[in-house]
Amino acid sequence: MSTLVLLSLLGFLVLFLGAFHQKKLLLPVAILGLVAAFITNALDWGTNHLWYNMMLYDNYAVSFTGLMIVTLILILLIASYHFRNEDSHVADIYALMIFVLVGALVMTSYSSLVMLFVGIEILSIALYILAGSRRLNLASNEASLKYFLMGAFASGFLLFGITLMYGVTGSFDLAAISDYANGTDNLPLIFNTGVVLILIGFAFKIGAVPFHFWTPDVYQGAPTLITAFMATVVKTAGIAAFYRLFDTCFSGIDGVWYNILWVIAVATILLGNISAVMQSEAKRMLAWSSVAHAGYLLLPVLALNELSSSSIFYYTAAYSVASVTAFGVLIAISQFNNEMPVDNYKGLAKNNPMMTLALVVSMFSLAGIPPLAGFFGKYFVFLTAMESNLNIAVIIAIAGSLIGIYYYFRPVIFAFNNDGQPMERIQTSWTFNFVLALGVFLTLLLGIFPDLLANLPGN
Amino acid sequence: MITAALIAFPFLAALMLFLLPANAAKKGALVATLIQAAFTAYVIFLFDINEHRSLLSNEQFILSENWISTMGIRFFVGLDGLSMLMVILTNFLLPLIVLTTWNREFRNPRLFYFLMLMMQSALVGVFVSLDAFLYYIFWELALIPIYFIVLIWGGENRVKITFKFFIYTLLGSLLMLAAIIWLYLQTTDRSFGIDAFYALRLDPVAQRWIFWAFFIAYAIKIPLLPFHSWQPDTYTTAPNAGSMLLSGIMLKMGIYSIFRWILPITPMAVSSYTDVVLIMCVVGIIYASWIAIGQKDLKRLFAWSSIAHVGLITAGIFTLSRTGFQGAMIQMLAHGVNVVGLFFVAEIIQQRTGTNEIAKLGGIRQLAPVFASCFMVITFASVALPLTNGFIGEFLLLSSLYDYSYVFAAFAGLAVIFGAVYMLRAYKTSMLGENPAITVFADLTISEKLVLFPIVGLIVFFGLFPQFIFNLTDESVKYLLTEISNHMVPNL
Repeated sequence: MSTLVLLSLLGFLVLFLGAFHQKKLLLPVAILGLVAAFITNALDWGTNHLWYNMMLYDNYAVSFTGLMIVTLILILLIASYHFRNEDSHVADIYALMIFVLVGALVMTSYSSLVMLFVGIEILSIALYILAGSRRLNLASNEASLKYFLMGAFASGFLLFGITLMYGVTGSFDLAAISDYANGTDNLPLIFNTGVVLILIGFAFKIGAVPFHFWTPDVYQGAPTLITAFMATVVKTAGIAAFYRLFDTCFSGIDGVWYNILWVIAVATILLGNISAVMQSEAKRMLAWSSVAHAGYLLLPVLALNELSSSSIFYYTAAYSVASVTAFGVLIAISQFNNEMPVDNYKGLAKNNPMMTLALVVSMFSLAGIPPLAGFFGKYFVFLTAMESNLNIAVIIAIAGSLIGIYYYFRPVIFAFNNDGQPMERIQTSWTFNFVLALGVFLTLLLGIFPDLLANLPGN
Repeated sequence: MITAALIAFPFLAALMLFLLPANAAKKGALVATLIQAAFTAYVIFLFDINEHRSLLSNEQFILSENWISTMGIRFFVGLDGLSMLMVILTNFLLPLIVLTTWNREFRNPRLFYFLMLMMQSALVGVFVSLDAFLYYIFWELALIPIYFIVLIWGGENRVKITFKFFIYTLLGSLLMLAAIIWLYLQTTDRSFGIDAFYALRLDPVAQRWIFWAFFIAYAIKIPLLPFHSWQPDTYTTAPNAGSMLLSGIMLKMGIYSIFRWILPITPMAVSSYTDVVLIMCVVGIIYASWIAIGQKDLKRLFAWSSIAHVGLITAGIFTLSRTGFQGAMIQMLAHGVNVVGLFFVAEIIQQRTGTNEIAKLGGIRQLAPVFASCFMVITFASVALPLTNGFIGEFLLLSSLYDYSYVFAAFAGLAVIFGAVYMLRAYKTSMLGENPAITVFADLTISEKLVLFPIVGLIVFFGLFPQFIFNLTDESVKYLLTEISNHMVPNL
């Protein structure tokens, strides 16, 4: 709870610093605040506080919150480089990102469907603004509007589902719903409908097929940094909330939603990967790849066994670190352009060894090449799925990762392409270099010693 | 500890290369591989052929440390006769391969030799791993350096070709990964250890699935027909050192893995699919030999002949007989040595004349007699003339095939004749006769002699005294045979 309060206050503080033009203080204050939040969050480990039957701050919530705070710190360090030439409203952007984190925190720790909805709304509204934060850019405005319309739809579905569940069980409380679901032999149709509607709402939020249509446009239209933020923190929050609901309420029940979720997961993996292959735009490609990753993340939700939460956590951690690094490289190369063809990576290797290393490591990690973190994440997810006999889904997922090689390798191949003029050395700031170095280091570290995180969130 | 050091040393040496100035990278790599070879010689000296412990016959220098304890994954390595043979092959060939690049200047040499040493580390890792997960990591890790070696320093069309190569091998690997996970879920104490995998008694249907998942991975790596289509292009476009790594050592990963992982875990599937695999191999041998006859380019010819050779090795293994196993072991070593020699010959010709096209060569023997003689010995070895190392292995393999079925032996034997046709013809056209176009062809330089003379020496030495290899691998072969026969009946 202290983390929640701290983060909310931090958001306001950053906002006021912006209002009083203390630009120099923005980044240090935001980072310090986030570090403090990380510490108070870590102190909650093992306490299992239940706040007024609304939020349960268990280890699951602590782990995911910690991960999201770290990811946001990395993104803010890149942000100082990304926004170095922009005077206006940087403080607003920082503050909004922190507010998104507040929503994300609520989404990982809710124990009542009301809080779930509140969390999603806090997160979404801040995000709508962020997606449109480049006010004079048409694509950014379009992204914002699209995201808003789609997000509103998703919220509608979710809310409708929650209402139906409430109608059947008479409670918003997860424990009560779980009791009802486990104690009833034939679940009424209205209950199942409610679950499916909630599922659709989540599928919208994490961008799973067939509710993924907004993802490529929004990811491309939004400023690149915001895209990185959406692909990591927001996706983590979405999948964490998704799994929390299914784990608490529906584990052990063979519901109608099982087949629906199976199809969604498999279709997301296939369509995400295949569409990413066809992109010639680096950012759009990463957007589609994030759709594919949402599909892999759905496998443990589907498996719903004792390994699921660990594998989701590990996968999101590996994926977040690699994505931030990959987007960081993209930001440096594209230099504020929202459109960047994949060929723009051409000749990178010659004069930018550090950035090339970061590119290779992050792309290989996303592709799932050992011994990087992404490989272990995939392995963990496959293991979890096979434990619940999802062998066919795993085979399809394997085919998907094979397709993934194609598009993840293209930037790398271009980087080592020496025909023509090699790319100039790109000027970066030390915080930016620090993030890349840390990303490479963490990806290798987590890949070689997965034990560091493989036990989280614990039972 | 010794086993871990064998893996770690090339890796650390690879990192150290970046501390050296760019033009010293070559020397650094040579020194590192020589130290590793000397270290390997010391390990051979320590290795006790007759020592028996509980694990895998004469497995020694075992190191088992928890790595990812939550998942039962260990850093579990050791050396038995079979692993020893592969480690010897890897570590003694690597200095030679580094030496073959002595006269060539690479763009960004530090990265090149770094990748080469990384590859050595991963290859040794594959050959000594006793934990399936660890083995898989090294298996994949060996792929990355060679991918970059071909991508960055390769010839024409390298982007497309390396891509095909990567996708192909990764497809196999991922199937294998699924099989490994499945096997892990079947073990009683949730372990990836080879002992736990060997203790599994799978029902015949499961064995078939697992067999194919593993076998396709290996068939792609070796490569066997019809999974071979990446190979000729990749071997041709790769820089010669890369082709040597690929054909000399890396394809042995597949053959080694058949011994280590397929045979003892899915023996029933192996015996029920013997004919299928043998037909694959024999058709592959004849097809590859046939194509090789028509090749105009030396490197491509060697690539296709390599497919024929490894087909024969695999066929020998699947006869599940002692002769077949022994023949395969010897032939793995012999093929590794010979193919490095052949690709180096192609490299020398390419450097001197600017072409590898057989028809454009000729008359080199008069200009460079030492070189031509070395090439001759290597040619003889690869057509399996008696007194060369190729003979013993091929003889054993064919005789094991004959014991299994004379039909297969007859067809495979035909391929040996084909082999003589294309190799001798290539030799004749490129070395003998007169060619007014080639007037200058310098004979071997010192560094080239340092590569070719040891290779010729090894060819003759193992042709005359193959007993060393028999002794080294005998325990492993016996163990494998008993293990297979014990597992033929599932515990129901």
